[in-house]
Amino acid sequence: MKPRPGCIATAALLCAAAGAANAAPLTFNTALPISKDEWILREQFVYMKSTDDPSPMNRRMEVSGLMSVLGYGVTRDFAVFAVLPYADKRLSMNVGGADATRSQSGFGDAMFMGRYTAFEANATGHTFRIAPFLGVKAPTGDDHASDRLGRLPPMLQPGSGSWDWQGGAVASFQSLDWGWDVQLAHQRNGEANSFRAGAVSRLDLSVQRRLWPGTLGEGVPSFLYGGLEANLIHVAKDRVNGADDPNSGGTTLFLTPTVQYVTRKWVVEAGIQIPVSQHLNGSALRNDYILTTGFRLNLGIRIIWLLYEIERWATSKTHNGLTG
Amino acid sequence: MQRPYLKHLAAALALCLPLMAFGAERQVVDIAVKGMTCPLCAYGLEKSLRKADEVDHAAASLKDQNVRIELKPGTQPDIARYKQLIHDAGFTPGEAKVSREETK
Repeated sequence: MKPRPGCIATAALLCAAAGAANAAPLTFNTALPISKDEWILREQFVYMKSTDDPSPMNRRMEVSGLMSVLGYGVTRDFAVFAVLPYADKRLSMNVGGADATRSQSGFGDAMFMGRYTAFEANATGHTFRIAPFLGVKAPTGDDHASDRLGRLPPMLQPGSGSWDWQGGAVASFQSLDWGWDVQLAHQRNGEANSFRAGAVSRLDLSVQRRLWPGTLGEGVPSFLYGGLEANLIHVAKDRVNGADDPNSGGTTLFLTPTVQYVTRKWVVEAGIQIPVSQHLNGSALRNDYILTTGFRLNLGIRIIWLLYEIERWATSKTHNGLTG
Repeated sequence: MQRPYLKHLAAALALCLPLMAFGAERQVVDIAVKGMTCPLCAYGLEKSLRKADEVDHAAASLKDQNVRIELKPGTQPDIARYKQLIHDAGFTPGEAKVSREETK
């Protein structure tokens, strides 16, 4: 069984899963409030590269993904989120002295999440909140994709075919000058096609500092934030036909410098996740970096519908690929 | 003889309309807001306050940690409603102050 570098990417992608209202973390943002009756859209382009292969196959994995996150404030304290990933996955390797590439693109599994703000303390110029969240990932993506070599391995399938559950809690402090967020999350995966992806446990920390303007002016000026995030992610071994795959799972620590420009109506953001420590099992493929960039908008429902139509039109022009 | 007179009266009234609007008085409410820490949050708060029909304009200030609500001329403020809308937007409302100002 091949190792699954996609585990880390999937965890990173899926945790880009919740609201948006502030200098939120880039690599997780289950943290911040959405007002009652407010819609928020987040689009993130994620590029992941893994080329450090301890095996002689010289495997190279590239994943380009677009994460669409839609959040809605049902009540003041309860918000719901839907996440739809679209990814292009490409695995190249050396087989018998020749390079071969297998690839697949398409919509992945949709995730639905609810978050409840259980504790809140507001004061002049700062806020502190604690919110548990619970999510379910539905098997909406294709999990039977194949190419001329046969059925693709799970790491290249757009969908998992299984129902997966994610839960955790997030605490956030935000002032006018700086903020921090800490998240503890666990994802348990179901079984499909005699395969169960390893459970993902993660501890995330984010610190943001307002870099500009140095002194606050009147009204509502735009903010430029610089930040640093840390993600400690442990992925359990996959199970194939009821047995552990020794070449899967492990623990990775990412450090991510970030930059965000926040205006009244939109946010642009970028960051690069650098794995500073990787203890992966067996011949699991090591990650090089994950680049994330995107924007967030505070929207009306008509604009959300228009963006959905544009994305549907754009993705209808994509196709599956196989090169040898 | 009567028709030209009515025409002149209507024309004079039409010319006076802008002058009547100028100098009309409206009420302004300033409410302290706790927990407001970023530009996007402030915009959400302003949008929330515009749900009240009598609100003409709402402008938050991060520096002063308050929101200024300008009412349409001739309308009365509903402080309890504004505080509820601030609460719904995820913040904690503080002291409210009502004043009058002339529209320009």
